[in-house]
Amino acid sequence: MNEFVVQKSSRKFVFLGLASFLVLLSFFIDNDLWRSSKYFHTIIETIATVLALIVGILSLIHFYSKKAQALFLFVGVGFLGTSFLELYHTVVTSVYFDIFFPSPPHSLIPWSWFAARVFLSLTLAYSFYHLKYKEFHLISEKKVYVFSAIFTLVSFIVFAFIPLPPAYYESNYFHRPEEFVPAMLFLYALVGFYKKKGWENSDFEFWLILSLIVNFISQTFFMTFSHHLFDPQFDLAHILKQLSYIFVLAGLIKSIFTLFLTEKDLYKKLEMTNQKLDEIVNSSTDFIWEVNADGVYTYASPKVVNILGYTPQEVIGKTPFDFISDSDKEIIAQKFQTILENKLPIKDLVNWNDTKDGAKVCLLTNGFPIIDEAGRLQGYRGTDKDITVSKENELKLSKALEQLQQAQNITKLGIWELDIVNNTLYWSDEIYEMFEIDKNKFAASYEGFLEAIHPEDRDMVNAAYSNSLETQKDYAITHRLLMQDGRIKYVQEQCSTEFDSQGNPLKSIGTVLDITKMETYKKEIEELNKNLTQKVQEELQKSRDKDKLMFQQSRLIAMGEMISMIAHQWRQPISTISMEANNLLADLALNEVNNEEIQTVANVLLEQTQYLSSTIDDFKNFFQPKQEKVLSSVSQVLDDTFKVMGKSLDYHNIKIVKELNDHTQTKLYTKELLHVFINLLKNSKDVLLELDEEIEKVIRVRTYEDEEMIYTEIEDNGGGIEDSIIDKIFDPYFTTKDAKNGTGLGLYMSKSILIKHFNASIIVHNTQDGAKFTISIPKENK
Amino acid sequence: MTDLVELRTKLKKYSVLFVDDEESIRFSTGRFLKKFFNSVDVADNGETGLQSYKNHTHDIVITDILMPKMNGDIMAKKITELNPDAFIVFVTASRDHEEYDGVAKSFKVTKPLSFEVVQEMIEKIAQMIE
Repeated sequence: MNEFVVQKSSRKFVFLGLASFLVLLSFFIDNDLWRSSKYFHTIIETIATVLALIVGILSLIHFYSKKAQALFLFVGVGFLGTSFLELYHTVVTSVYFDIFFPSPPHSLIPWSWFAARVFLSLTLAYSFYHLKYKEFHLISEKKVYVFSAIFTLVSFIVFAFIPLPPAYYESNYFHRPEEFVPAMLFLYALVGFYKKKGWENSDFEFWLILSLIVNFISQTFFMTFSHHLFDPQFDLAHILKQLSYIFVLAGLIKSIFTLFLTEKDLYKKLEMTNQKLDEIVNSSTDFIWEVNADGVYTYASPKVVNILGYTPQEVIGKTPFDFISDSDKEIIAQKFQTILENKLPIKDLVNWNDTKDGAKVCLLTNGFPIIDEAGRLQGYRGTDKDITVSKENELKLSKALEQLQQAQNITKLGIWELDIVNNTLYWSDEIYEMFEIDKNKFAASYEGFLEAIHPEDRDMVNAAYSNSLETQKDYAITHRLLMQDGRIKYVQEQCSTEFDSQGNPLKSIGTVLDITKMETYKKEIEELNKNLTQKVQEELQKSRDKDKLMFQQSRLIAMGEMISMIAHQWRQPISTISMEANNLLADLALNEVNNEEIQTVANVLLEQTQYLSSTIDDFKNFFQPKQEKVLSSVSQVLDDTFKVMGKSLDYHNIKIVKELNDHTQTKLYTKELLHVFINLLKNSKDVLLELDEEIEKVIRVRTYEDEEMIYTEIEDNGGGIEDSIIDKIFDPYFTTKDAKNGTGLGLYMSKSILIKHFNASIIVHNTQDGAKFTISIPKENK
Repeated sequence: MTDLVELRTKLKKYSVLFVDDEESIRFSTGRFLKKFFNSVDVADNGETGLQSYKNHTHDIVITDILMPKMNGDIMAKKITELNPDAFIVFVTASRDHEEYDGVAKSFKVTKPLSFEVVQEMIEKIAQMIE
């Protein structure tokens, strides 16, 4: 289309050339060169009328088809009105109609010309004025049409019914001075449009300026100089008027043609753009949509299948609320109402939707309102992005953060992070709380942390951290905090440091746990334990002392018993010895001393001392404090028992029935077992002594064994033990005897000795006429 | 002190029964009594003592009390039943042993039998037997 464009730089010269040519032409035209006729005028004005009509109609079509600049409205209306006035002008000057008008032709012709010229020049001048000062205000089309209609009708009425003054004045120069009025209006429009410089880019304005130049010069240099009707100036002014119309027509055609070309080009571009848009829509993972003013989908990109599971065909005709989850509907509806009322863009609206197969997807909706020229909302265009994964992650993250916070609150676990590179330290709220430091007054710092530590622990904590930076190993440490009021808290620290590949520390992350309560409990428990151990040991010692005491008491009792046994054993030898002494003394007194008798006495004394000596041996063992195991047997120990006790029992007329059937030789604490047997036999003896003299008193001793045990039964016929106390007889200090005879320790000690030294047991039960004690000693005893 | 030689002369015509369960005491005491009395019989318990008395009707019976089979006091009671005039001396370990009812002529001596005690016993027998 470049060939149609007159070069912008040369346009000025075209203006200048045209103007110069026309002005020069006016000087060469002589008034008397020719004289045309009414017919010529009618023909030429008919052409002008048609031209004006074409220009007017084209201009208006152009204006309405593209909503082009208001200039085309003015031009269109101006030329339509002009064409109407031209038609009138043509009619009144024609030889057929002039007779119907009141004014003579030499008045009617110039004035009707004048009316058309004024109307056109006024319209063009106003169009410039409007474009310059009211560019942003759309002129009401109605006003333009009403003005044009009134103006043309008024002119018509004036010319039709009012007699007009003469139009030509006899003077040397200007015969028609009224023609300067449209000339000045043309000049105003010409200067205005020229200065506006629209002509530099717009072809139409370029042609318009040419047309204005022609009009101005034709009015100024031709018509004003016309002497008569139909003289050369008069004719040329008419011809130039045609030219000016043709120029405007040319501009219009050029403009329309350009527009046509542009449209074609735009269409191509649009097609390309559409194609690109399709590609974009198809390559986007987002769901791209368009809804109308009722919110109904009018377009849905194919990707909607991937997001909602519905095909575009299924989506179109539905609204977004057919997919939004019930839980979200109310909130989203409220938000939409605000957006729609204010015709706002939809920005990052998060909403949950149900897919076709019932799953939930979270969409991020963005959209722009579609607004028509009248400002009415036509709908929205936008995209839905599937952010389910990131939303779910966000939810998980926020839940995890919440849980972490809760965990911190519950456990009083503080978290800190030291960025070693930037030397910044972060403390969680729990740490400030734990250290009792006001978050607003004191910034977290390593020094502040050390300050809160108990002075005695500072070096240790510092060393632990420094050490972990060197060894690159995590550490955990328990230390004290010293509060400002002197309280002590216990905290447990754990720390882990990240290092770069060169081993430089990057940042340390750690936790602080307040374990003061735990530590206090620990201390209390330790204290309790200590006390408890002490108490237990004290009690044990007491118990041991008591046992020892009881054993000693028991041993003393046994010893006492033995003393009495010794007394019995020694009574006979002592009596014998003293009687032998009597024999000697009697011989002396009778003077009958003889060697034979002395020999006899000496023999008896030796015999008796021997017996005494052997009796002492029997008892000696029992008084030895040393405890040791000796290879022996139960029956041997029983024999020993009767050696020391037999006389005592004989003395009290107690019959002993022995039935000893054990044979196992084993290592035994014989003295302890002897002690036990003496205790039991003494008990039986004491019971039997309480019986009537006539009753035969018997103690039966029986031993036997099986594979594991050696059993010893000691049974008397002393009447047995009352059922009410039979369970208590092994208790310490329990006795049925009066204070003289019993201490209540015999059976208790016997049982203790049997358990402690023989791992043995002792039980008692009543027989027909007495009590029977049964001792079971394991063969494999310790 | 009474002259033991005198007492021996006086007592040499009487017979004695000594009952004790201890053999060595029987042997020692028997030899002592033999130095003063005409004849001395010994028995080791109440039963044998009673049997010996039945056979010989000794003038004097000297007996221990606590003995197996038959005590001294039971034996004494039975001897008195045979001979209400029987003369019985009890030798006892216990100092507070009571006198025996139903025995006309008796006394007791307490062990141990020192020389003084046996002297007194001989003297007392000599007095009481007349």
